[in-house]
Amino acid sequence: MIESLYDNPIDVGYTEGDQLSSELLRTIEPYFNEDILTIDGDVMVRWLYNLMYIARRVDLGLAHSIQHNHIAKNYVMMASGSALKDKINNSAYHETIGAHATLKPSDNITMQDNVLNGSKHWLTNLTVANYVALNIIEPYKNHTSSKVIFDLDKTPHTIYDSYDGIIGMKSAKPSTVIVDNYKIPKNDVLGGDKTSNRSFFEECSFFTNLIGAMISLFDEVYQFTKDNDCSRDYNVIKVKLDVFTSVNIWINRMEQISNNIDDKTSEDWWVKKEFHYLFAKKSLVSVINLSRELCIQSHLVSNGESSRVYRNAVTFASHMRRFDQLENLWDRPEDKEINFDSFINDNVERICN
Amino acid sequence: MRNLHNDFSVIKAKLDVFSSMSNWLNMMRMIVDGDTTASEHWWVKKEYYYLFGKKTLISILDLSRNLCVQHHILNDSPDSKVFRHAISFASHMRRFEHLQNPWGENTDKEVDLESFVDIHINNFVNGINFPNTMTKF
Repeated sequence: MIESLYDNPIDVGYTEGDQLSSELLRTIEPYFNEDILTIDGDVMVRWLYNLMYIARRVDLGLAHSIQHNHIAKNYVMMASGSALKDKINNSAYHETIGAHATLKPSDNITMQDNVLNGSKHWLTNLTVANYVALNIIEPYKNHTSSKVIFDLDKTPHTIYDSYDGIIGMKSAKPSTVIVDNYKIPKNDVLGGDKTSNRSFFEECSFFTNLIGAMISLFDEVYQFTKDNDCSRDYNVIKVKLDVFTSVNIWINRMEQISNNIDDKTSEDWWVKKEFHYLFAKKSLVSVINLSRELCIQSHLVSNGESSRVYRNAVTFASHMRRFDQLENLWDRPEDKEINFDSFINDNVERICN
Repeated sequence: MRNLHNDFSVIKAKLDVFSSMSNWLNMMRMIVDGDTTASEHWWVKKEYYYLFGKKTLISILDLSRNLCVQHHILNDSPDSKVFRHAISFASHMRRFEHLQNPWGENTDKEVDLESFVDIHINNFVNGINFPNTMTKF
């Protein structure tokens, strides 16, 4: 059945495709739960990708898992214009929504007068998204980049899934989205002169992916500890505290940026940015370590869904800056230490006054 | 003496200390802003901030022990007072396994992280007030 589906892709409209994909997902559920280890990984990847093709959706993010689309949903909700925000607000909670590319601005897709042209290549990772957020080069604006969010359901586009260019992990295929003279709604173009929006994207897109990867893996690990009656173990609680603190920091950071109270011209801002970034990495690494200490076998089985989440987390952490590079980005080159006393004094003064 | 200030374990402790300070500042800001309404998310934050503070304190104590800082355990050393003070403080705090959702039902003391994220995003993106309870969607 799996092979025949792959060999005969069905090209249908979105509505039909959506229904069909739901039915197909129900069909494949038993494989996820019981027989996943007996299915050849490559066949599984192709089969799942076929579902996405049918649904006319494409996976984008680096670190979002199917179980944790709420992180992506929240990101897109904050980033998007009012029209998309309403749609996302009104959607069912478990509807699969959102993920975004975290790649650097690309000159493959260009935008002029809100018209998109070009193509973009992603590592898919098998998650499904309805919305795409892209960094776009605007050639007539001194090559500054803007962020564009577009709704895949409404955007004329073509999706290729090519298996020739393997990128990094073997967990998923790359895919390509092609947009041809698509005029995007004005509300869905962000960035450009809007400093706050640009700041938002620059700061939060990576952090959001990181938090998504962390929560995905932690949920897997925590479920394992509950199943094995060790969820109150000191090590588990400590990791849980780390994860919560990272999530809370992420929320505070996005709140500040969306309320326009971030001030990049202060030392305080840069110190926080540096510490928050590396603390998040520390939390991610601690979740990975916990998985290793608990010897969770499913994280190491090459074909397992859990192992994809694990590999995502490890790959993500490996791409982040090293701990020993922690420094005060604001200070003079010869003095990179952070003065905790002044940090506290300045902040307390600001809160009290 | 080997320069250890860039050692991974030292940096990790430093990151914990900074995050604890950030938590403390956030808590102060919540109080100054009058955000003291009895609500689930407030109590969840309080609980996590408290025990994360303890975790940080212990990570520094561990670091001192791992580095074998002798003057921390000498009776007549002024620094030992600081070390003993930290241990005494940590020993009087609640235990890690008591981490729970203080607002939750007796049968369900887990924190729903998804709801926690959602109510915050809804607050500052859509202007929806914090609900008293973090209901699951």
